[in-house]
Amino acid sequence: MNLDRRTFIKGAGAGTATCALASMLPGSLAALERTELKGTGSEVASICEMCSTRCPISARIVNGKNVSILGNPKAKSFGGAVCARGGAGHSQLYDKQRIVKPLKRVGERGEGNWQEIEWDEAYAIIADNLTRIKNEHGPEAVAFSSKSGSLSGHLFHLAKAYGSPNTFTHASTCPAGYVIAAKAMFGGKIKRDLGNSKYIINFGHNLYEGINMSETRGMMNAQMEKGAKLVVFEPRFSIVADKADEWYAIKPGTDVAVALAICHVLIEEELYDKAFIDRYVTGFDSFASEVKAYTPEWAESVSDVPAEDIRRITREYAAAAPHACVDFGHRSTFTTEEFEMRRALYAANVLIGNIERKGGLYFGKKASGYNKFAGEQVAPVLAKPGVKDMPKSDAKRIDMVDEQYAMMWSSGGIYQTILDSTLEAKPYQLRGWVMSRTNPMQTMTDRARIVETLKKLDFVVCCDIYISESAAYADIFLPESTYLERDEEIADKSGKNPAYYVRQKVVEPIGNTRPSWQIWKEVGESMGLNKYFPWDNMDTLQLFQVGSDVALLNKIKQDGFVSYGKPLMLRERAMVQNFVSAYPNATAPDGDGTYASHLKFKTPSGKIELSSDKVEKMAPGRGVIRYREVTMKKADELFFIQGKVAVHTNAGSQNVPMLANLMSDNAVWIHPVTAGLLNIQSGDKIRIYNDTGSEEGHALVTPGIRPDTVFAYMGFGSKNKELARATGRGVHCGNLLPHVTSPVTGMNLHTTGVKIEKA
Amino acid sequence: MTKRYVLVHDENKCIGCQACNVACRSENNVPESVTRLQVRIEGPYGNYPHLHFKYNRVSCEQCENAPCVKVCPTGAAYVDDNGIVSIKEDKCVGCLYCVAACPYKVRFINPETRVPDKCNYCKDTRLARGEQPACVSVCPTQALVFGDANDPDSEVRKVLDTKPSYQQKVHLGTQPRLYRIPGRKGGIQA
Amino acid sequence: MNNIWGSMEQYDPVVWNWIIAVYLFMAGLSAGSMLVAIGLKWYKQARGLPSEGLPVIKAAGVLGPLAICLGMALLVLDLTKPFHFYLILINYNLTSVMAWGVIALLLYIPLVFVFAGLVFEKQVLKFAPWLGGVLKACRQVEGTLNKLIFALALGVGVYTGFLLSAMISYPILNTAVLPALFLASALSVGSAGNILVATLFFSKKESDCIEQVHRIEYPVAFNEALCLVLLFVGLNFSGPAAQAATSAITTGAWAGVFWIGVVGLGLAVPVLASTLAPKSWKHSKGFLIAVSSCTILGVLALRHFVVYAGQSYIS
Repeated sequence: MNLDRRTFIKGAGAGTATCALASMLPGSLAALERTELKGTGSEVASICEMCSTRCPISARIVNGKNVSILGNPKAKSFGGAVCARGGAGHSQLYDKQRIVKPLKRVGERGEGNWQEIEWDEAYAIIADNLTRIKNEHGPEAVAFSSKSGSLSGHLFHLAKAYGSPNTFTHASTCPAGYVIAAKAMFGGKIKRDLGNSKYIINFGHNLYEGINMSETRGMMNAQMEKGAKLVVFEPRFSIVADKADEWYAIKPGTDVAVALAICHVLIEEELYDKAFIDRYVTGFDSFASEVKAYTPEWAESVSDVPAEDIRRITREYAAAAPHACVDFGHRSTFTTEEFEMRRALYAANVLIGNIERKGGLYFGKKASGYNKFAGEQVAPVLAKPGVKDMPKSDAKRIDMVDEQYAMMWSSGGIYQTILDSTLEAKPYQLRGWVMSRTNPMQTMTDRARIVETLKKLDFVVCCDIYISESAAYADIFLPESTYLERDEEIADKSGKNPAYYVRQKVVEPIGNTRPSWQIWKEVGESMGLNKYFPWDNMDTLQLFQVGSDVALLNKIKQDGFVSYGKPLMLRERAMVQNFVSAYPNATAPDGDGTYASHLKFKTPSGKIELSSDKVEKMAPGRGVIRYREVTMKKADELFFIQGKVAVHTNAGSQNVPMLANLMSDNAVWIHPVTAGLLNIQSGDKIRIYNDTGSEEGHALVTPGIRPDTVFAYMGFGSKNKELARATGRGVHCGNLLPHVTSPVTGMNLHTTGVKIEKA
Repeated sequence: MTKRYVLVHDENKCIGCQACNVACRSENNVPESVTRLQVRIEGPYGNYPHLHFKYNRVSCEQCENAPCVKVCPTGAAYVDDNGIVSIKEDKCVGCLYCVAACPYKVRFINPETRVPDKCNYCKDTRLARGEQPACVSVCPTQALVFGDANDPDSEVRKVLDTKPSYQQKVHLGTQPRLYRIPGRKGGIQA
Repeated sequence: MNNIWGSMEQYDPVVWNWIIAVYLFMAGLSAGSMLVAIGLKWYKQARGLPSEGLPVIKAAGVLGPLAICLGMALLVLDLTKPFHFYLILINYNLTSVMAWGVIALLLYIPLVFVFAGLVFEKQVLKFAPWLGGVLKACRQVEGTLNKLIFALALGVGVYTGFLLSAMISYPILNTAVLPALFLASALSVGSAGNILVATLFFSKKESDCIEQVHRIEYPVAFNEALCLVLLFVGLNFSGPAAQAATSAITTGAWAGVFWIGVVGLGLAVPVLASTLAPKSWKHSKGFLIAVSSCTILGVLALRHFVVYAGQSYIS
């Protein structure tokens, strides 16, 4: 949009931003008359869904036409705050390009020709096709995938009822690395207490751009009000690098070397917590002997981080122990050695014994466990709705091709195996794909291969808010109500003490959309699977959760976020004493005044497995954490890395008007020296390419990136015409990333090599 | 005693996430093509590896000696009793003199009202309901402090008394009521 | 850094554009032509010479009202609320230069029409005999009226400069030289405009007062040049922001406008033409039209340069 300055300042250009295409898009909100919003209350507490952090929010209808969204002040660690994306929720709700009617593809897949249909017709087509595939090829020939959370359980319930074991979340494209590493070492997920940390070592976990509200706030508070020191290792000068006390432009994918060197120094200089290791850890000796070789000098040669700094930082870190922490990160697609990297990061925490200590790592305290310690019902325990006699599938999951991935099968699966199964019939032929609120075209890798996959499948269903790049290839598009228009089950939000919160309707649905719990139930019913969907609606499910305790349900709904009890960390004496004095029947503390003896791990040994026999069995040679050299680019290529920006959620928000207005394009960051060699200046049009694909974009020449690396914010450069505000703007990262599956974690890979030239 | 509303923007705590930008737009119904508030992430400045960004809040500075008010021919631009630079829409002819005269370039013509618009600390919306301005309430990292600097017990007063701060373009004698706590890496760049 | 905070278009420093530049030009043209005409009148009267029917004064009778009306029309059209124009006539904020300008123009405009009415009394009475009484009354106080118009024209000329110089954050604008520069250039364009209109429409062979008007062009051009020198030398000594603004005349498109339009067409061509051209040319119609057109274009360029370059450099 190029407005003449004059027409602009005088306001003549207002409202011209809406693209003409939008008004022609069948099923879009633009096709409907704008109606007054029907608020469900003056101020409704709910849960955001503009990203997967799902912050507690409080929404208010302004003049029947706008929703003002702030954080729910009842959730203390969120402080009543929301980020830009959360605040822009109503912009998505009202977006004229949002789809509010079911659509049927007419013409070729991906061609962009759609026809509005009624829900019944959509269900009938889906039932026909899924039943046909089931009869001809078995139910396992259909894969079901959804972004985790956001009612994904309902889609997976449908999958189960239908009989397919092939359910996938986005895990292998984002968080599974740290989840699987935690599973292997601690027996389950662990949390960080950044807010109380005095020393934080961060390996590119960009909490100031990839905002996770309570952690972002906690870390900033620790830094600014409590004097915590933050050290950041990241190839790019991100916001978190800017806010750090020290920033090291580490070579992409070599974080594991620095993490191992930190462990080396901790052990070599005997800075580690021997008592903790003796009591809670197995496999220390084999780890220690492996780590002997990983000197800071060696790490420097691998990572470009000076050895003396690694030593000094490790000593400072140990001095702050146990109220110190090595952040194990979030998006874990930096290297194929994610499993070793995330384990090495955990190891650096384990060595200083910060588990269940303030400022360290801790386990979530859910109601049942918490109540046991308290000796009374401090927090209500919610029932889990479930259906007995669900069909058992005999078929193997399509990602069960190698035992080393065993831990992933129950943690979201290896998403990208859908491609192998469809294109190469490995381990068998996939024929259908039902996806919900997921956009693999952007978030997986090797876009061209995904296009091929979607074209080859017999039947594709997509449920979303917009016709995303992936949805553009669907046969049937099902429009889901946005989070502001739907109710969901009560969710557990326990931290150091139990907490619940709930998503609630803020406004009545606009247009002809439905919440996905209802969509999947109705799809099931249209295939005659009624017996697996015995509930009427969300109210039934919520009431079941609270055991028909209406007062409790009302309290949770009224407050939106309810927490119970006092914060508890098992090895923190003051907290335990506080806990014991509050609950007279509480479990008696140990001699040292803590609950240290109750700290157990759900690993085979019951201890933290610094080295693991289980892993060794699954993936021979990987029992002990070890450095392996990986090649992620050719010698004459530049590293290509991506990251998140505070105003967008991966590839999900680029078409939301308010957010598109903030940022609709991603420049490619290039170091001045590299740019000089390539004769590229800021703003120049460039081509960025490799064996996987080629993209055009523009350059941002900045010293905030390593000379051997280029960077772009992810999620841009959509290629389907339905996303009018996002299409063709910026570099499509997924089109440049090769199809790779990392050992053990099954992660795909978001670091690769590229070449750049002036376009 | 009248109030002296001031806003303090801590550039150390600010992460440039634009939550304020969006919250302001939603709360005050600011049309799509214009904005009352941006936080610009400028830089990086300095030499590798000692780089730093500057987090520059761009919004009305609520000058005590406001050039926009001075140049307004009709008196449509005025400072209210609490020191908030405001606009009487029904007096404005839209000559753009105030827009041109603002040293901070934060006034703009609202395409819907065709009258100059800008940050007014949410005085018609949140402030009127006894709440903090939207940007202050929404800020994820609590980088903004707002309040009455005439009140010796107010948080703004405490912040201003204990932390170094600067205002932009003080040489123009505008006496802005938007204070900034300089980034610890950057120093003052007014 | 990628821009993640939205469009920057709203923050374009150039708020006032060519419409304002033309308005400022028109106001200067009107005021200048009145100053020159009334000055000429006084000059003739002081020497006991007749001043009725002089082509230059007739020209002013046309230019004075026409230019200011065109200027005002542009100004009103440029408002975001042109139909609420009356608000500016009933509300006055006396700290605003513009409010003072409104007062000056409210007095100036009717008086310029009276001036024109007196100049073209015969023609007016032919079309509107009912104005006879009014014109007669005005004729009786003509001397006082001319003094008043002269004072108001000075005010209008200076006002257009102060309007811009009151904006404190623009180094090029926020200087006391600007009103002087605008007054000097108003005189140049006023005399050139008068000469042009007089030559085109009212000139008779026996008339020689075009030459007299022509004579004031040297000192006026000198003053204008001096003001420009003072402006930029002054900027150079007024701190870094102002110093940076001096690049307005060295870089960018507006530097071209400055050197070719303001200095070349507006100053060098008229002065050189008047000094170097052979005597025989000097009274030819073509010469007068060409030279005065150059001056007018030069002043138009100056107003544009000041408005655009002035707003482009902010301290």
